This record gives sequence, C-alpha cells and structure tokens, in this order.
Amino acid sequence: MSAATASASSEQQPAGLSMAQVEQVRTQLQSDIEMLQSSIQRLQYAQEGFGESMLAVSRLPTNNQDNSLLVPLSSSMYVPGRLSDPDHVLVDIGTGFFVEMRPKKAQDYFKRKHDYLQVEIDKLQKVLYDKLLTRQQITGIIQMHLQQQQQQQQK
Amino acid sequence: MAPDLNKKLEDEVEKYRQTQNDMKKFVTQQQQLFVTKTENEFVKQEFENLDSDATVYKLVGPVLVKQELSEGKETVEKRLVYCEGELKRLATLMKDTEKKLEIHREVIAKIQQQIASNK
Repeated sequence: MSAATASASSEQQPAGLSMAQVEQVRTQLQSDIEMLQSSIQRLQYAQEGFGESMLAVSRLPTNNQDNSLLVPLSSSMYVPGRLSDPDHVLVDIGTGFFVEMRPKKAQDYFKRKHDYLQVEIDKLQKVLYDKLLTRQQITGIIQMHLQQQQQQQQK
Repeated sequence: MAPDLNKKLEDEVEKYRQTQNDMKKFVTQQQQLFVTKTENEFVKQEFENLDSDATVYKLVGPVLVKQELSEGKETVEKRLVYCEGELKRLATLMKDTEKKLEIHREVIAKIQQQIASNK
C-alpha cells in the first residue's frame, strides 16, 4: 500500500489531489450514498404506514351503515362483533400519547404526516442525486488515471 | 532506546483507540437524543392543534391512561427541556474528546518521528 501511495503521490492530479486521496473520497461518497438510500427507504416505509392508516380510517363505516365485523381473538379464531363508536378513533401521535379524534381529523393528521415525509424524502433524494453525479465524475477521473498509468508502463 | 519508544507508541495508539471508542458512543447517544427530541416536538405540535377539551391518553406500560391536555403538554415540554440539556452536555463532551484525540495524534506523530530519526 505504501509503495502504491508513494508512486501515486508523485503523479499529481490536475485538481491537486493524489490518487490515494481521490480513492478515499470515492469510498466516503459510496458510504454516504448507501446511508442516504437506506434512510430514504425507511422514510418511504413509514410514509406507507401513514398512507395505509389514512385508507383504513376512510373505510370505517359511519353510524348509518352496517358496522358488524370479525374480531381476532387469536391468529386462528375470530368472533363476530360490532364497531361500537365509529365516530371516534384513537390516534398514536408518538412518545406514548394517543388522541381521540373524529375520523375526518384523523385522516387530516395522517395526510399531514404523509406529506411531511414526502418533503423530507424529496430533500434526501436531491442530496442523493448530487452525490451520485459526483461519484460518476470521480470514477471517470480514476479510470482516466488508470489509462494514463497503463500508457506510461507500455513505453 | 528503540524498544522503549516502540512501547510508548503502542501505549499512545491504545489510548487513541479508547478515546475514539468513547467518541463513537457519544455520537450514538447524540443520535438517539435527536430522535427523541424530534418525536417529542411532533407531539408538541399536535397538541397545539387540539382543542383544550380533546381527549388525550398516555400509554403507561400496557395501560392507556386518560390525561388532561395540559398535563400532556407539560410532560412533553419537560422531556424537551431534558433532551436539550443532554444534547448541550454531549456537545461539550464531544468537543473535549475531539481535543483529546488531536493531542493523541500529535504525541503519536512525535514518537513516530523520533523512531524514524533514531534509525
């Protein structure tokens, strides 16, 4: 490794960085990209949860409709029941707090969370895009340098 | 002379590694605190949007306990203050640890120079 560094640092890149440093930057970029991608995935997963909650609440029967249902008592046994109060739902707002809300308010809550997550996801995707571009450029620089090395060795 | 220097180098590198480990722990703690703080800020926001007669429940173990909105707001506020305090404490701690790391690096560099010049 030290021999490669010694020869690499004697061939300075136009940008003023040695090959070893360029390689370091590329490795750092790669790990940043992976972290961003995993964060975006997790946000999207959470966002899906809110979307599903919104859908579930919208499907709740109102007082005028038939609100009988099947309640799971175990993974293989259900009992028939009725939704006693379709006008209120308990919403988990985080850190162990639940709030009783009307279905409409609950839907608004889920929509707000869903949209907020979308804003954050968009921010991250923009950063990810920039990093992907930079990584492409660096890969190009490394390839160019490898080509130069090969040509010099052939002389 | 050389064996002593080498031993000194080993010791310093070991100390450096330990300080780095401490730093990693602090970073993890800081991340946890950020998450808790953000979650509590979300809850605070939601509370602001509620009417004062809204029904709020708190999850205490397996039990949902009915609470006053004002009580809930107080609890969340206290948690936020605690988080901010902890974050400040960690920030100072991390700055000091960073300085320690810098000192370790300098000592290691000096010893390496001595070893190189003795050869």
